Amino acid sequence: MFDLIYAEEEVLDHPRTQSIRARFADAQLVPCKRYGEVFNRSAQNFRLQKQRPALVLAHKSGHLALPTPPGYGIGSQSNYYFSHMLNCLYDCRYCFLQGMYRSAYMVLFVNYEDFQEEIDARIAASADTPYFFSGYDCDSLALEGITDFTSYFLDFFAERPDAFFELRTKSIRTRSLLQRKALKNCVVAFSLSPDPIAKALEHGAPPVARRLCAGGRARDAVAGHARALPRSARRIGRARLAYWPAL
Amino acid sequence: MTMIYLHVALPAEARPLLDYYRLRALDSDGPFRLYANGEMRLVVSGIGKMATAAAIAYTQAQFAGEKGPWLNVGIAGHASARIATPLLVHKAIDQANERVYYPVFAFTPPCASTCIYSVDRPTDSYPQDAACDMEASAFIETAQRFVPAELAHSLKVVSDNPHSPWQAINREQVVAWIGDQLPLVDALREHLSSLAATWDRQCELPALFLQSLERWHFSASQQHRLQRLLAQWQAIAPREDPWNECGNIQRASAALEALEARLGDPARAPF
Repeated sequence: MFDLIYAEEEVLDHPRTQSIRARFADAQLVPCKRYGEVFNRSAQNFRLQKQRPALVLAHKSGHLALPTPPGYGIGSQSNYYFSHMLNCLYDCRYCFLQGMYRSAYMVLFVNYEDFQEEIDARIAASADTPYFFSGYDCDSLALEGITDFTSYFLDFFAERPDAFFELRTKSIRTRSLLQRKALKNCVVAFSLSPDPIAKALEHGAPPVARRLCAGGRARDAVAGHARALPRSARRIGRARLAYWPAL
Repeated sequence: MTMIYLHVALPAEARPLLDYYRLRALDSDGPFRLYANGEMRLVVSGIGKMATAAAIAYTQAQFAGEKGPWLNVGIAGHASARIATPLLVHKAIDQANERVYYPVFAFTPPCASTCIYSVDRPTDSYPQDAACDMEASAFIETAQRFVPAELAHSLKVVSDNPHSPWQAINREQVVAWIGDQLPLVDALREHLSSLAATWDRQCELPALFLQSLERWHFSASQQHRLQRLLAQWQAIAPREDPWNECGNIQRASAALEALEARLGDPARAPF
């Protein structure tokens, strides 16, 4: 999947880096000082890189959990997003990530603990129930097999029942969700488009029917929050379905 | 057809490439030896970073209208790799100023890759787990000024190591080492050509923009809007004419509205 893995020197010895290196033992490891040396450089071309993106392992410092843009939330006044990754495995032609960066490399910030520390600070400062959204600069689940993101953050939110956690995804990688007890404060939001639109524009993403099936499985395992489901989707229960305008 | 540019430092590195690709000498009066066929150019720069940068810039100036990917082929020392091992460069460091350059692999590398230090004079001191030469960093830095980072690569063949010093290298060996890697050079040429075709399509947007300007009179703000809409069009329908349903439209504002409608209405979306 990855021929090259770039890693900041600072995270070379991080357990998450070691684990990913072991998983891609044949990939060439290229150390760099800061991920900005290899990501989003002026000479890079997003469309060319997208043909074979590399993985970049990095440390994120500062601005780890940020207030969401207006209209992003699902009810609360305290809405925050955080991005453990930059860029997406999929190639949805309408997505704002298309061309947001000059690079299509997938940047994974391995210091999950620092994200959690800032989330705790946001929880402490929130006037009402805070919502934390993952999936703004990436797909929350698409690289779950590599990142172990959900298992780590679901454990975290399991101990913080007064804060909500929403995973936004087009992925069908729900195994990590199915293997654990459901959390009432976790929402798994599956993005859906009409099938012809998905086929034409959501390159690399799983077919809509398979996303619906994954949503159905996730409902029973994790999702604890129901929201205004369209009639056609009620049978998959408590997972949230997000219909995005495609154009 | 996409042009491919090859850069070598030494005439001995050029010899197998000239024979294999049947390249003919072009410009005997210029500062660098240039060779060409219908789809490839080769420049021999001479040794060193400055010569390399100058040769690439000179070649691009000579063929300004024929953009295309660049491939450096040459020999390099290595601390531990065996003689004649081919290695692509994934990181090049100019040892003089410690600036670092990263070629971008938008294809699966067909051989192993290495970090390389580009030095100012030949050395017996090999960096640990890395190669060393006298051109790669300048090649990548300069070529990336003309093409995207995905289209400038450096292929090195190990010519010396601590057990086989650089002083023993001779012309015949260099010809043989490079000659043995011609299939690899050809594989890289194919990868780069394919990527360059994608790049060519991306570069078509300005042409589409200019054609639109010839057809209607757009104000400055309308031109910005036009560029944004055409960029969206390129993303979803790169091979279709955005104006093929706009035959009778007279005004630029109406053309923009029509294009916006085509982009925004799923029923009329171009797929």
